[in-house]
Amino acid sequence: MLIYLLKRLAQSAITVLFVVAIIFVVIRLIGDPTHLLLPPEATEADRVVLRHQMGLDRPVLVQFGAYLAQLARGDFGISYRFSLPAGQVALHALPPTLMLASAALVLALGIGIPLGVAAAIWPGSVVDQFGQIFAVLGQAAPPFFFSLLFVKLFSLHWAWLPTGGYGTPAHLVLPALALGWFAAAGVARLTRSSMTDVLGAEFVKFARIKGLAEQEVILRHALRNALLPVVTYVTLQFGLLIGGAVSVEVVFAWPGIGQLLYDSINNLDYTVVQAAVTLTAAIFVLINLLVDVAYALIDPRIQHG
Amino acid sequence: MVDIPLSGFLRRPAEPVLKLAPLRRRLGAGRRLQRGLAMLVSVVILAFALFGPIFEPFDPQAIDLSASFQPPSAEHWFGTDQIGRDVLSRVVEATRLTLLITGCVVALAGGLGGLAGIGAGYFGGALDALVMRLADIQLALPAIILAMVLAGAVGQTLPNLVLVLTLASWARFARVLRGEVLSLRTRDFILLVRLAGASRGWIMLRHILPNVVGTLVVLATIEAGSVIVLEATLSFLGLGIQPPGISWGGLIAEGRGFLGAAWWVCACPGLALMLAVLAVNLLGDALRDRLNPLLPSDLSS
Amino acid sequence: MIPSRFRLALLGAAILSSLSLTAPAQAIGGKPAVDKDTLVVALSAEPGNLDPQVAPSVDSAKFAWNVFDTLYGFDRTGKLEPRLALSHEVSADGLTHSFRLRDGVTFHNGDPFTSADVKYSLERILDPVTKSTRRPYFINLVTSIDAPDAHSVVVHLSQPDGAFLNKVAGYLYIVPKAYTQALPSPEAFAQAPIGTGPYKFVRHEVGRSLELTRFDGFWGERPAIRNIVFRFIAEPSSRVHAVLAGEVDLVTEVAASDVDTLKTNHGLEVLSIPGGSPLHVRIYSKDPTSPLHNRDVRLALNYAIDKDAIIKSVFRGLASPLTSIIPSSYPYGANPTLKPYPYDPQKARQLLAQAGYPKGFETSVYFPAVFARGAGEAVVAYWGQIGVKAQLKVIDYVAFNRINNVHQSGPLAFSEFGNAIYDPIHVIGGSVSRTGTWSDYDNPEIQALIDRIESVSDLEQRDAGFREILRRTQEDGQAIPLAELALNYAQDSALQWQPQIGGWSLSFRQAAWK
Repeated sequence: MLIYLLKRLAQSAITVLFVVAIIFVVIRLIGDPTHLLLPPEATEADRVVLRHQMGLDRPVLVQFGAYLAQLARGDFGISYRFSLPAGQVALHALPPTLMLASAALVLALGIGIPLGVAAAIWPGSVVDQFGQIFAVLGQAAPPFFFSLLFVKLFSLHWAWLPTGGYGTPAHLVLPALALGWFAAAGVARLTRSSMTDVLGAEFVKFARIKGLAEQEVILRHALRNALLPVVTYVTLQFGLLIGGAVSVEVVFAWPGIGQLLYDSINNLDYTVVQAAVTLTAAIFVLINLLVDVAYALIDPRIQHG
Repeated sequence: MVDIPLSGFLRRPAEPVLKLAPLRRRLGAGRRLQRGLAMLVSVVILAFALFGPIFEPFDPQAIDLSASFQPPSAEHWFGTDQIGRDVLSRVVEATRLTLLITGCVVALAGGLGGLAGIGAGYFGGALDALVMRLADIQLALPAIILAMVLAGAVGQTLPNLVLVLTLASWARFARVLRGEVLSLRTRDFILLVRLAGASRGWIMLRHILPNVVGTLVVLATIEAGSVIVLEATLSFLGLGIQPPGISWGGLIAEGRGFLGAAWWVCACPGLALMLAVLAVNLLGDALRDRLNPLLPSDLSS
Repeated sequence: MIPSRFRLALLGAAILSSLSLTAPAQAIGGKPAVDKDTLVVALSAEPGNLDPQVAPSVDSAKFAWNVFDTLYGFDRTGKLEPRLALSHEVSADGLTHSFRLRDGVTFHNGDPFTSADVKYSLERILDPVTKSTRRPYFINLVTSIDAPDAHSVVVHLSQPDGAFLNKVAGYLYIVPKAYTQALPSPEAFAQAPIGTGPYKFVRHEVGRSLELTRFDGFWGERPAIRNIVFRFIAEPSSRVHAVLAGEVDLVTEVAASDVDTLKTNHGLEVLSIPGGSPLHVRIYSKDPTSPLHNRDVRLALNYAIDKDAIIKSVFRGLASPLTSIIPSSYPYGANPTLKPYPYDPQKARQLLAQAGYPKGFETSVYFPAVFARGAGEAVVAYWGQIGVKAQLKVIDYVAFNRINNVHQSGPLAFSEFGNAIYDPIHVIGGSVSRTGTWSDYDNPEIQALIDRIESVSDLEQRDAGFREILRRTQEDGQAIPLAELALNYAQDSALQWQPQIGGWSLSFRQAAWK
């Protein structure tokens, strides 16, 4: 077990390192921030001076080495744009996104699982068909589209909820709904199919033959097995949610890391982009690690697979 | 990252599975009607893509500044946009580019990702580790982020857009197919064939590939929907197709600023996009039922 | 029997269509978003860096005039007026500028304002360590600055500069010497900025808000509103929704297409003010093999466009016609006697034929993504009508700046020019002068005029000089002026506030609730 854990930790660290390296290099290919920071009247000489001050005239490998050394000290550098520590800026933006992603996931699971289970238990029924439409609709349009529609309906027309911003639980509802519908759709489909497969399996038939009540069969035996792939799916969804969160965050002015990344890339704020990407990659990898460890504990065969 | 083949441990005794299964009896009239409509929509979309100009009442690029923001009418079924262009014609014209992009991305991601996944699953070892590591890296870097950074670095051309979307989609194909191959590998009939002395290459060609093709096709149709939506999100962030090319996503993103003044500019392409994704998903479901009913019905894990 | 899912689908469609037919909700007019002591403003983007010497103008414009002062400032129309300085004198040779400073001014932290702070502020801008974005404006101009006594400063220039006072007003934000020097690093100032303005910094939550509160020790007229809260809402329709729902009191950068719907709302007041920026197509004309080298071609491109139609449709009428790259909203330097080129495609074709391109030619034009796409597509379509096939290359802001700076944005590029100093030299120097970083235009006669005007301080003479320059650039087809866009603001009807004309700096010194 310990060996497996160490192995997975090492793999995770390598993954994050590669992600950081890729972003480090690619963002420097976009161009350098001095073109944005200095006015049109500036000459190339002015830009050279500024570039030197920012340390951007050194070879990329040297810059990367220095960056890694900094990272080891826990220092993400200073944001060019804000003159604030980049790590602080990225960390400040992380909780809102985590909150949004979690709320969306909770919604997704809370709506998707019951819908999927019901659709599996009563195939061909109204619930099944509603579930199908709901599922497909949720993934049939980009999250920003739904966001705009939700705002028009719930914030302007019916004035139930704020149009955007951050602070109270009311502010979380619409963004979580817009993002969550997308994920709920996937969860519902997966639960339905997984549950259907499980319900047709030998051990379920066996349980029925044993004389167990239908409810107990479903809840205690079938559901638990059916949910395993859902858990896998949900962890994979995290990356997708962060991506989808960008557009939702922009529409709702939700101060999360998605919006920070969008802003920072547009402003070529290297240090903040690097810090934000490092943080999201680390979180993603951490969640995967935890899930894998959980699986390994459940099924020892996996450690050697 | 571990892959649990979805119901591997629940599967019935093995046998080759590629044969056209009779349509399940419990498919009600409703379901058939749904699928019929999906087919119809798909045919219409294909027609638009292949023979677009025939269906366009106006030239999609024809500007008429005096007819700006006309609401839907008999003359302009979907109204006009800010510079007087007919929205219906633009939606039809956008079909071509949207389908082209989606087709390329699905083919590339499916082909490359599929190959990687099959190789990883069948040969295992170092190849497996490499592919899984790469997939991890791709998944840890959300598609949008990758797109934003890449668009700035390599420029926003059509091939680059296809590249970005492919990079964002291949890992899913790889994972699913790897899982499929893994579970196939342990099946009795494969073991029997190996015992009989068949080489690995022969097994791959004759037994593995035909069985996973079905999965690949179904996953491709489902991924197509995701790609269309992802392209729309990229357009929203300003990273989509450049003019004069137009795609549904581009039209929606362009029109979203006018939802108050001229809702039809955004809503009509949005409707088209939703119908297309709906149709493609329902088709994927239908294909799955026909080709491989024993497969788990959701392949997006 | 209609299958149930179709009933559901019909219900869904009904809800969706009812959405689109609803009228916009009425804003809560007359009721502040928070209270009568607070003004909530929605901006399109973060100001980012709160150090006004480091932040680029487009960012510092959002807050700097409230928190900081300069020696001279601009009034609402762009005319210079004294702020921290009471008087200003230029020596006969134009190389020495003397300022007499105001008495009794204190910084937000209680430090008294003296000439030492002015000297320090300018030197701080010049110091590369500060990474000031304003350094290029002063580095080749200022040789030294003296503070002979506590209430006067003398600045020595290396060459005469008729717009020096404008630059002082636009760029030389005054920061406290003792406080700033004692900070551990130059970046620390942005984390806790101190100025002499009517509002002092309270809190900056990155990506969320910026809060200011009234400074009771302010040297000037006390502003009526105690607290200002800036919120950052990037998506244009979300900004509009926020003011409609009464969550913010004032929203900036309202799109032209939203103005009509907002105007019908009685709880809101919509202000459309000339923005002072010329939307035009810049031309790279130096290359002798390019068709654009030929004056007739450049004029043809001008005659081919129906600018009024574009203003009416793309900008919903919220723009003024433009005759040259200095719009009429400038306090001086614009040429009101010039007439815009009329829409005359026939004449355009004639000119093209005259120039040797009877069948037109192919070219490309860069288009920054932040501009209204419809304008670019319309212009390209008009050119197409006379045979000029131009490929529209939409490009994002970062890339656009970069290729402009290295002279790679030819042969044509859509441009605007924000101007923080209200003097035409900023625009002319950038795009008409031979040494302009954003052009390759080189006209010896006009260049002579530009060289001469650099040292002219007298306003009337400057005005006359620029008029002449503009007359000639129009004759020469130096650029293709399109329109001066209006900046649109929407505010609560109970709010009394007027925006800056011809500029985008936000100042709330005169804002008040009715």
